[in-house]
Amino acid sequence: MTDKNKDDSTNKAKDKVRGNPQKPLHWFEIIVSDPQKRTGDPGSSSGYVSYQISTKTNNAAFYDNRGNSESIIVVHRRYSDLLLLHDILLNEFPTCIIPPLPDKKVFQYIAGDRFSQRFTQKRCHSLQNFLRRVSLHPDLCQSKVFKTFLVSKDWESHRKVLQDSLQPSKDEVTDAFMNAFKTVHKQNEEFTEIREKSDKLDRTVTKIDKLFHKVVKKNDSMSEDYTKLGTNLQELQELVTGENEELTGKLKIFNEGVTQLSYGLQDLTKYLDYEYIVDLKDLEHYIDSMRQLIKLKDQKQIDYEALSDYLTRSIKEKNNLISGYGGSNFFANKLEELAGINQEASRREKINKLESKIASLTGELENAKRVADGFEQACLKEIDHFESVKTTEIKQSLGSLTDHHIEFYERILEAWEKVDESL
Amino acid sequence: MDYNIFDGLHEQQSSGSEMDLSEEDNNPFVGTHHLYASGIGTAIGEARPENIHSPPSSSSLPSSPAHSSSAGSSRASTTSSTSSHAVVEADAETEPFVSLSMSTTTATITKNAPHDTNGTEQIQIIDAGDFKDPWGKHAIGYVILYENNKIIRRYSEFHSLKQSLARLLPTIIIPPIPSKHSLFKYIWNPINATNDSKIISTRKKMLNSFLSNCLKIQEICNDTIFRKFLNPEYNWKDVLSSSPIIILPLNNLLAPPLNPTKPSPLHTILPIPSNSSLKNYNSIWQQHITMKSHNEVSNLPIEIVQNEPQFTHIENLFQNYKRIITHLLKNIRSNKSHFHSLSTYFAELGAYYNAFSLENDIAMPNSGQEHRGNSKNPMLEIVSHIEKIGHSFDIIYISSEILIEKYNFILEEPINELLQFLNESFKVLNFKKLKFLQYKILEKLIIEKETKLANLTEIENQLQKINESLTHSTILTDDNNTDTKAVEPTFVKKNIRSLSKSSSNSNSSGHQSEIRIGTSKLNYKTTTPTMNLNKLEIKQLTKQERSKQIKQLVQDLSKLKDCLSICVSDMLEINTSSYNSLMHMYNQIHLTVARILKLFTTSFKAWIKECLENWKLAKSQIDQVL
Repeated sequence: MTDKNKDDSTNKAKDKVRGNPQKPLHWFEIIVSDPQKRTGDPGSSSGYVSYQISTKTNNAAFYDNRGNSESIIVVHRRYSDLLLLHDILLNEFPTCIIPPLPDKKVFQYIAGDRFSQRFTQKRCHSLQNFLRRVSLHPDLCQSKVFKTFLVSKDWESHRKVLQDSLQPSKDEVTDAFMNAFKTVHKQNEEFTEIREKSDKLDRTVTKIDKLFHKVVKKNDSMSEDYTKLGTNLQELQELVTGENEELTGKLKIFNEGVTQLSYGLQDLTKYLDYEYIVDLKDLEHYIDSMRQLIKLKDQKQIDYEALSDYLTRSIKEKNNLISGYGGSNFFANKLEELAGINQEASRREKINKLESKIASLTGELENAKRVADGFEQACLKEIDHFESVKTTEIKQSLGSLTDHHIEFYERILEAWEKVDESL
Repeated sequence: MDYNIFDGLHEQQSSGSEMDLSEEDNNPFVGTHHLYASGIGTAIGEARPENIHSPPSSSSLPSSPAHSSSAGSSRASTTSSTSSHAVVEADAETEPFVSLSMSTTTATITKNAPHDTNGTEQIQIIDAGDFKDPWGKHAIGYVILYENNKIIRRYSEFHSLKQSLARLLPTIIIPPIPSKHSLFKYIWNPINATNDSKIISTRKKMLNSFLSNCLKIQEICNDTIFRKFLNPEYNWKDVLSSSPIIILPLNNLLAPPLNPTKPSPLHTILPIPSNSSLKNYNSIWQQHITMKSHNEVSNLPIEIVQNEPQFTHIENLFQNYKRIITHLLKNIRSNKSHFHSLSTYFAELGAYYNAFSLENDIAMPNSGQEHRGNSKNPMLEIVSHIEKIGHSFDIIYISSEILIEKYNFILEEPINELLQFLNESFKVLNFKKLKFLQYKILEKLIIEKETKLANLTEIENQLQKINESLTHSTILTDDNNTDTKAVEPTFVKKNIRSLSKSSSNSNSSGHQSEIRIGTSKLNYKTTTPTMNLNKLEIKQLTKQERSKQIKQLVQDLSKLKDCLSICVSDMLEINTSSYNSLMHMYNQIHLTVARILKLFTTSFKAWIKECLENWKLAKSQIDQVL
C-alpha cells in the first residue's frame, strides 16, 4: 500500500512538472484501512463497520495550521458517510464525473455476510479508490464537504446539516424519464467515439474481471489441493519414519515447499480477490459514472434541440403570415371573415405575438446553447480528466499486479530452491 | 540431473530433422495432443533465445517468422498441422522415458543417438506404430532396440510375457506393464486417432520402463523366456506353445518355487489351499506359533519363524504405502485438472489483455489527430504496458501447460507404476502365504492320520489281547467265556468313544482350512468319513481289513511326510528368494519416491523461474515506459 502511495505522489510530482492545468494543486495520500465492526447506537438494531481514513496532504488548509504535511490526519467513517459525501458532490458538481461508490450490496446484508473479512476488505479497498479519485479531481478535492469529511472530528453534527441540505431533486428524475426515449439529433463525433471507446473498455474490463473471478476460484481449489497433498505427504513421512531417515527428511523438506506454495497461492489469491478485482470493478463503475455524465450532457443538448425546433416552427409560421394567406388556412380565414373579425388586424396581432415569442425564444435558445455548449465543454474536460485518472489507475493496478506476481513467484522460488538444495 | 523444461523440447525439435521421414506413412501420431510441439516451442524460443541450440539444418522446424509476430498466435498452433507433423512425430519418438524406470542408476539414454549404447544393459523402444504381423494382420507394434537388434512385439505379447514370467518366477516381483484398455473407455471413446496415439505413446513409455526394469532384475534377465522375447528370431506364439511354458504346472504351488518347470512327483500331489483362506492367514499363523503342544511334524525351521515378523512388517508397510499413494495419485490428478483449467484462464487473460492493448492502439491515432491533437492521449503510454501483461499471461499459460504435461510422466506415471509394483509385491506375498497354508493342510492331515493310525493299532493290540485271553478262556471254562465276551464290547466302546472324540477334535480344527483336492492321488477327503464310519465299522472290520488299512495309513503317512518336507524346503526357498525381492522393492520404493520428489522439484522450480523471469521482464519494461 505504501508503495502505491509513493507511486501516487511521484506521478503527481511529474504532472506538476509537466504543468498540466487540469491537475489539482495539492496532492493527497489517502489510505482507508482497518475496517472494524462497531455496535450501533442504542436506537438502531444492527452494528456497522467503521473504516479508518488516514490522510496526508500538502494542502495547509487541511491542517488548520495545526501541523504540516508530514503528520497524518486520521478519522473514522462508515459507509453511509461516504455515501453522503458522494451524494453531496453529485449535487454540487453536476458537470463532474463523480467517482462511484461500491454497491450497497443488499444481498450481503440479507445473508449476514456484511461483517466478513472478505467483504469489508474489498469494500475498504474500493472506498479508498473512491476517495483517491475525488482527491485527484481538480474541483472536487477543493470542495468544502470533502475537507470536512476528511478532517472533521465532529462529523456527526456536520452530517445532520449536510443531510438536510441534500434535497431530493424529483424534477430531474421525471425530466430524465421524459427524455429517456429521445435521442440527440446531432451527436458530436467526439462523443460517439468516446462512447464507443468506453463501451469497448467496459466490455474488456468486464471480461477480464470475470476471468479473474474464475482464476481466484481455481486458485482456491489449487491451494486446497496443496493442503491435501501436504497431509498425504505428512502421512507418508510418518510411515517412512524409522524405515528410511534420509527419505523422511526429504519428504519433510518437500512438504515444507508444498506448504509454502499453498500459503503463497493463498496470499496471491487474496490480493487478486481483495484488490485487483476490486480495482477492475471500480473501473467499470467509473466508466458508468462517465456515461451518466454524457447522458446528462445529452439531455441539455436535447433541451436545446427541442427549443431550436420550436423556434424554427415559430419563424416559419410568422413568415407564412407575412407572405400572405397561405392556401392551407383558407377555410379558417373564411370562417373568421364570416364571424366579422378583421382579418388584417388579427393577422398583425398574430405576427406581433409571434415576433415577441421568437425574440424570447431566440434569447432562450442562446441561453440553452450556452448551457449545452458549456456543459459539453465541461464534459470533455471531465472526460479528459477521467482518461488520465483511468490510465493512471490501470497503470498502477497493473504495476501492483506484476509486483504481486513477482512477489509470489519469488517467495515460492526461494522455498523450492531450498527444497532442491536439500534433496 | 540439472533439467530445464525446454531443453527437452528443443532437442526433440532438433531431432525431428534427423528422423527418417519415410516412416511418416504409417505414422500414428498425426495430430497428437502435443500441442506445444510446434507453435509454443517457437514462442518460448523467442522469449528465451539462449535456449535455441538446434542445428541450422533443422528444416522441419516450423518456420518461426510465421509465429514470432505475436506470442498470442502460439495458441493456434494446431492450425499449422503440416509443419508440426514431423515435429510431433519426433516428439513422440524421443520422449524422455528415463524418469520412469525404477532403477537407482537412471540409465541416461542419449536421445539423439539411440545407437550409441554404452553396454548391453541398454534397452529402448524406439518406435511404435502400425505393422503387419506374419499372418498379415494389422496391429500396433512396438519396436524394441536391444543389443543392436530390432524386435517388434505387440502389446498382447508383452502381456503374455509378463504372465509367463509371473508363473515362472513366483517369488520375484515382476515389473508391471500398462493395464489393458478398459471396456469403459471403448464405450465412451470410440477409437479416434488422437486418443489412440495418446494411449500408444503412454504405453510405449510404460513398456519401455517395463523392459528396463526387467533387465535390472537378474532372475528375469537370465530367464530363457525373456531372452527369447528379446530375440527377433523367435516367434512369440511359438515360444508360448513350447517348452518351458507348456510344461508349467497349472498352479505354482505344485512346483518347486525356484524351478517350477521341474516339479518332483511329490509336488504334483500337494494340496492347493483356496485363495479365500488367505484372509485367515494371520490367525492361522498366530495359532501355529502359539500352539504349545508341538508334535515333531509341526516344527517349522527356526528361520521361517524368525523371518515372519519381517514379512508382516513389509506387508503392513506396503499396504499403507498403497493407501497413501492412492490418495496421493487422486490428489495429483485433481490438482492437474485444476491447474489445467487455470492455465486455460491464463490463456484467455492473455488474449484479452492483448486485445485490450490493440484496441487502444488502434483507437488512438484518430482521436489524437482530430480533436485533442495537442494533448497526448494518456492511454498510449500504457498500451505497451498492457501488452506486456498479456504477454506475461501467454507465457505463463505456455509454461504451465508444459508443466502439466510433465505432471504426466514426472508424477502420474511413476506413481502409478509404484502402485502396480506394490500390487505385484502383494502377489509374491500371497504366494508365500499360500505355501504356508499348504503346509498347514499337510500338517493337519498328518496329525489326523497319525491319530487314526495310533487308534487303529491300539484297537488292534487290544483285540489281539482279547483274542489271546479268549483262546485262553476257551481252554478254561464256559462261564469264563461269557465273562470275557462281556468284556470285549466295553473295550470297543471305550475305544470308539476316544476315537470319536479325537475325530471331532480334528474336525473342529479342520474347519478352518477346508481342503479341496483336485487331481492328487491321495484321497484326502476319505479321512473324515472313515473316522466317522469307524464307530460302526471298526467292530465289523475283519482282521485283514484292519491290517490293510493300517498298512495304507503308514504308506500315506510316509508320503505325506515327504510332501511336508518338500513343502518346508519350498518355504525356505520362497522365504529367502521373495524376501530378497521384497527388500529390493522396499529400497526401490524409497528411491523412487525420492526421485519423484527430486524430479518434481526440478521441473517445478524451472516453472517458477520461468514465470518469475517473465514477470520481472514485464516489470522492467513497464518501468521503462513509466
